[in-house]
Amino acid sequence: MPVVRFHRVRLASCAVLIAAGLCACERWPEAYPVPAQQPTFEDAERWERIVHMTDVDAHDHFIGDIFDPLSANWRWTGKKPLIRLNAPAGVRRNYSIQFVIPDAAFRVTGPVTLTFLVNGHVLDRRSYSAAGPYTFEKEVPSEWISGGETTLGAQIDKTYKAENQPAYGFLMVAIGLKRI
Amino acid sequence: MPALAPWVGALVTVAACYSLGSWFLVRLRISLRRAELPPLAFTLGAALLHLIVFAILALHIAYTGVVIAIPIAVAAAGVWSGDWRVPKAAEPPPRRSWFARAVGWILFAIAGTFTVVYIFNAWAPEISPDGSSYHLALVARYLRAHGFQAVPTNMYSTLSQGVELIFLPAYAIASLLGGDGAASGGSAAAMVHLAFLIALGLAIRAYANRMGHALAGDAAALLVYLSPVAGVVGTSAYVDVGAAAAVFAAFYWTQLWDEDRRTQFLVCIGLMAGYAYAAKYTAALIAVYAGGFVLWRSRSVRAVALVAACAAMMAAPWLAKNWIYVHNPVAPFANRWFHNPDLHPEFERTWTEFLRIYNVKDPSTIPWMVFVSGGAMQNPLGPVFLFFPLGLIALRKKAGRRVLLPAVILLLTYPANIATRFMLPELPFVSFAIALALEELPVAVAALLLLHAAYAWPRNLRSFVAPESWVLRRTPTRAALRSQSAENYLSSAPNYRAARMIERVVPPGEKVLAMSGVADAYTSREILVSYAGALNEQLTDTLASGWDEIVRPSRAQVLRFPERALRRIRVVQTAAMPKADELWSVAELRVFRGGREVPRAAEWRLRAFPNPWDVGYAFDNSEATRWRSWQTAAPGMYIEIDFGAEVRADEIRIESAADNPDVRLQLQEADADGNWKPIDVKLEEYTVTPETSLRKAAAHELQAHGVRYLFLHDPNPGAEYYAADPESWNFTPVARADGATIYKIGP
Repeated sequence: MPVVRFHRVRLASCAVLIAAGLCACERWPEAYPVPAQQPTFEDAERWERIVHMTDVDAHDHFIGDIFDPLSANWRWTGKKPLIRLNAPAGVRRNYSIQFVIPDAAFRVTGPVTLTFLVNGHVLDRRSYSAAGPYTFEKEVPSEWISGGETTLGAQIDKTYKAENQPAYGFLMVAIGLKRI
Repeated sequence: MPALAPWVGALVTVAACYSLGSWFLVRLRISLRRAELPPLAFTLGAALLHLIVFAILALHIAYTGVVIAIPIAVAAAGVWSGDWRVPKAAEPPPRRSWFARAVGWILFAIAGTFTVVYIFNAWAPEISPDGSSYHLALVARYLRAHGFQAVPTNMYSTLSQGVELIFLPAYAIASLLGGDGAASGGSAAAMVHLAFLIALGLAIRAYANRMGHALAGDAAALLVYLSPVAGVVGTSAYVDVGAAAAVFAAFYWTQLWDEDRRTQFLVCIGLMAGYAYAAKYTAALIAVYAGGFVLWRSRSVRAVALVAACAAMMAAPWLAKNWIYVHNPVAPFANRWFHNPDLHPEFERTWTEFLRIYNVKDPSTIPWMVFVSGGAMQNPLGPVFLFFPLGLIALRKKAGRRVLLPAVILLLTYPANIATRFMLPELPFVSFAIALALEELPVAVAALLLLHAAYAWPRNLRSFVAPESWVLRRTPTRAALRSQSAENYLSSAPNYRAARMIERVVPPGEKVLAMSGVADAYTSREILVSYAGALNEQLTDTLASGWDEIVRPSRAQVLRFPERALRRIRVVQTAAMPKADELWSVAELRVFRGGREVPRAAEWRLRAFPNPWDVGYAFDNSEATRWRSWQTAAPGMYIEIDFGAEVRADEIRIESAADNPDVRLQLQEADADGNWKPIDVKLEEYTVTPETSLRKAAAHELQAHGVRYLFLHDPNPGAEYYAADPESWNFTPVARADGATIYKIGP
C-alpha cells in the first residue's frame, strides 16, 4: 500500500498562485527625496586649479577680457585677460598658462610681448616672435598669494583688430595655478 | 582535545544524517540492499537534516545548545529505534574468478591508502580558497548571529547552502570542543564533505552491483574517488562533492523507482533532486533529468508532480530566503529580471564572463588543464578521463545508456563555469560509462586504475600539475594530529595571515573594504570584497574617483532651452552602446535658471531606471560619487525629477565621467496627463575640473557607510596612489605585511 497519497490538489494553480504572491512581494522604490548635500573638502597642500576655457564653470572665474563664444578649446582674449581663483595661502604654486598666438593676428602685429600677472604683480615678461601654441609656467612667490581671491592674467602689448570685432590679444586655452 | 574535536563534530553529524535517512526510509517502507543503505540513507538524511538546520536558522534559535543537541538527538534516536541497522546480505555475493578477486583486493588496497591520505588532509586545519573565504565564513556568521542574516555585501551568501548547513552542526561541535574556532570547525566540515565523497563512491559501487556490473562499479567508484579534483575538493569545506553525491543519489532513486514503480521512490527522487539544487545551483539539472525520466517511463503527470513537489520542498526555502533578503529568488543570477539593490547586473555580466573563460588566453589549452595540469582550471580530472570517448561503447548496454543521458544533461551547465570541479556531478556517470566499456577486459581496467592511482598519488601529482594548481600535494599528519599547531600550519597561507592581520588591527564590529579576498572564516570582522556586492562596488568606484582620471567627473553636458515652467522632467538615455561594459553614469545633475543653480528642494522627488536606489548619488553635491546604471547603458534608461511644484528653468547640467562617451541624452517633460514629451534643447559639452579634494570626499563617503578600514595588496588598482600620499585621502596605514596594507580611514 502506498504510503504517499495524492489529494485533489491543483498543483498548477498553486504554482501560479505562489508565483503571483511572490511577485506581489517585489518592492520597487517609488521615489527618493534629495539626499543630504555632501560637504566639499579642501586640501590646501594639494590644491591646484587650471581653468580650461572648456570648463563648464569657466565663466564663473572670468574677470574680464575673455570673449565668447567658446571655439574648440579656446576663447579670444582682449589686451589684458584676467581670471579669479580661490587659492589657499602659504603653499608653493606655479602660474601656468596655455595660449596660442594665431597666424592671422601675428601677421598684423608681428612679434609680441606678454606680461604675466598675479594679483597685480608682474611675474614675468616674455617675447614671442612666431605664431603658434605656447605654455608658460613659473613659480609664484608665496607671499603674493594671501588666501582667498587671487587674480591671474596676462597682458599683450599689441592687439589685432578684425573688421567689426573688438581688439583681440591671443587665444586662451587654460590658465591657473599648478601644484609644484 | 583539539585533535579529536573535528572527529566528534563530523561523526555526530554524519551519524545524524545516516540516522535521519534510515528513519525516513523505514517510515516510507523502503528496503534497500546492504550496500545501498549507507550511501543512500546518508545523502537522504543530509537532505532532511539541511531542512531542519534551515528551520533553526530561519527561526533564529541557532544557539550552541540547539545546534549540538539536534544532531545528537537524531543520531541517538536512530540507534535507539534500530532504524539505522544495515540489513544482512540477502544473497551471497556472486562467485568471482581468482583474478577478479585479486583485482578487487588491489583496488580495495588503493582505495584504503587514498582514504588515509584524504582523512589526514580533511582533518588538518581548513584553508581551502573558497572554504575559508565564504563556505565556512557564512557558517560561522550564522552561528554568531544564531540565525540567517542578510549579507548584502557578500553575493556568495545568496548561493544555496544545502551542504554548508550540514557543515554547521559539525562546525559548532568541533569549535566548542576544540576551542580554536574555525580551525577545528573547518576540519570537521571538511571531514563531513569527505563523508559525501565516500558515500558517492559507495553509491556508484552499489548501483553497479545492482545493475550486474560489479567490476565496472568498483572501477568507476575508484575513477571518481582517486580523481585529483575529487580528492582535494572532497577533503575541503567545499560543496561540489556533496552536490555530486546528491545528483547521483537522485539518479539512483530514479533507477530504483523504475524497477518496481513504487510511489515512495518518487518522494526520494524529488527530495534528492531538490537537495541537489540546494547544494549547488548547477546540479539542479538532475531534476530535469529526473522529471523527464519519470514522465517518459510512467507517462504520468501526477508522478512528475509528486517529484516536483518534493523537489520544491528542498529548493523553495532557498528561493524564499533570497526573495526575502535580496528580492531575487535566484540570486546572484538574473539580476536584470529581478532588479535589486544588492547585486548589480554588471557584476553578474563580468563575473559570469570570467567563469566562462577564467582569463585563459588560448582556449585550446583548456582541455589539457582540465584533464592533466589543472592550472587555471584549478585542479585536474586525471589523464585517464581522456578515454572518455570509450564511454560511448557503453551505449551497447542498457546500463550504459542509463548513465550517459544524465551525463549529457548535466554537462549542459558546464560551459557556464569551466573550472574542473564543475564536472564533478557528471563524473560518476562518465566514469561508469568508461568502466562499462572496458569491463570485459579486466586487465585493461586494472591497468587504467593503476595508472590513475599513480598519477593521483600526491607525491607524483606535484610533478604533473601546473604550480598554481590546487591539488593534494602531501599528507599533513602533524597538522591533523595538532602536534603542529593550527596557527603554525595555517600561517603558511597568505590569505590566512591577511585575515589574522585584520583581526588583530581592526576593532570588533568594524567593516573592512577589501580589494582582494581573505580567509574570512578566520576573522569576525565584516569583509566587503570590492566586487562581491552592490555597496562594495559603489564604494570602490567612489574611491577610484580620487585616482582614476576616467572615473572622476570630467564632462558636463548642458541642455539649454528657452526658459519655461517645469514640474516633472526626465533625462533619458537614447543610444545603444557599442560595448557591453559601457554603463551610463551621472555624477551630478543640476537645474539652472539664468546661469544660477536652482537650489535642490526638500519637495523634489527623484527616480531612476535602472538602479533607482542610488539615484541620490546624482544629487548629493559630491563629485566623488555617481549614480551608475550598473548595467550596459540602453535606450529608455532615465533619471527623473518631480519638482513637486512648478520650477522655472532654462538649463539642465549633467556632470559625468569620461567612461560613457556613447551615451546620448534627451530631455523630456511630463504633460498634464502624465505622458512624456521631448523638450527641444541645445546640447553643449564642456569639461569639468574639480577644485576640491575628491580623495577626502571619497573617504568621507566610505565613513558615511560605516567603512573605516581599507585592505589591499600592492598589485590592486589604486594601491600605489594610496601608498604614495595616504594623507591626501585621510588614510593612516595601520598594518602592513606580505605586500598588503590596512589603512584606517578618517581620524
